[in-house]
Amino acid sequence: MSSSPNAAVAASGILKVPRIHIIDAVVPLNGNQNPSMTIQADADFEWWWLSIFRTNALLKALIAEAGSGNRQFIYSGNPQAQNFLGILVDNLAGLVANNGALPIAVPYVMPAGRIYTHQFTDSSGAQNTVQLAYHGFALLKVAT
Amino acid sequence: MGVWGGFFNPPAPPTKQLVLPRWMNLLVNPFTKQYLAGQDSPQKVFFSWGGKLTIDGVMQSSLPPQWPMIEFSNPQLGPMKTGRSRILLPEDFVLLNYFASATSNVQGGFRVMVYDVNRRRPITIRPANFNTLAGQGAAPLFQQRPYPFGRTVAAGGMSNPPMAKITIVNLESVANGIQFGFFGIIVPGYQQP
Repeated sequence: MSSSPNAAVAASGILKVPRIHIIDAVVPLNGNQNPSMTIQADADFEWWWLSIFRTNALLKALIAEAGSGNRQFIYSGNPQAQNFLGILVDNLAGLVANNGALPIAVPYVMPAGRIYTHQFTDSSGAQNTVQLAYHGFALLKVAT
Repeated sequence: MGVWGGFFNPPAPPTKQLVLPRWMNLLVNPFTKQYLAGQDSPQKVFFSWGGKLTIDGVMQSSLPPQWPMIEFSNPQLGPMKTGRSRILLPEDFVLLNYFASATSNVQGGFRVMVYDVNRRRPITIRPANFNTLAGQGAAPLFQQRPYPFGRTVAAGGMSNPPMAKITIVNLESVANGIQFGFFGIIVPGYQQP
């Protein structure tokens, strides 16, 4: 017999509340923007999906995790590369406009309060409006 | 019944399947069974491959996902030119899928060869078109078995970190802005199930 969802919550002491962390930026033409995202303080965030909206595909992104050696998520595998500006956003995340999102496959837990820095660089020659959405769950501790 | 009975009452021939059901059997994609009821997106398939393996259940990582990559964007790869590079990987990197894009995709964009340097094993036997290897940006193809590149090995007094050798052939008659890379995670000691 399967246990009820409430029983699972009681066993783990964690209630997974659906949550989306959003990054918004308006990147000037051929310029860059550096927005940051702070994980909500009430709970760690379990990251499952990444999706994006942008007005032009010629936009590159870099993401780093602050507070742990500024760990880079995206980097050039060629140590001789210069002026590396990151991954094209359409390679990074599925397009919401195409009904797709990139599954993170093995969900990563982002600690509460941790800061994630982003750098968006436009090369389209026009102002680029971008929204990056981190889909997942807030791991809310509940009394057992 | 005798001999004549055998001539006049032959055994019934085996029943033939009707034409339409036979055609329908030919048209059934054997991989469709990987799509579970209610799944509207193929991207969900890798969570339960054939209902046998759930990637989340066998892999755990306390480190963030990784996108090591190379690019030919400044300068772009010239018309019909071949570019070679390496992707240095972190220790215990496990490959989940590739990603790729090209600014020009009239003649097929580009083809790519991937080679595991430390194991001395080609991953692509022949150059693969970038879309057949990596899918589309919004719908990447995931490996059915995550591939661990392992750790640094010592050979001949040298220390060789895990890395992939990448050969890219531009199929276009114009210069091509190319990105190619891996998406994966770091799982120390991971072994394929």
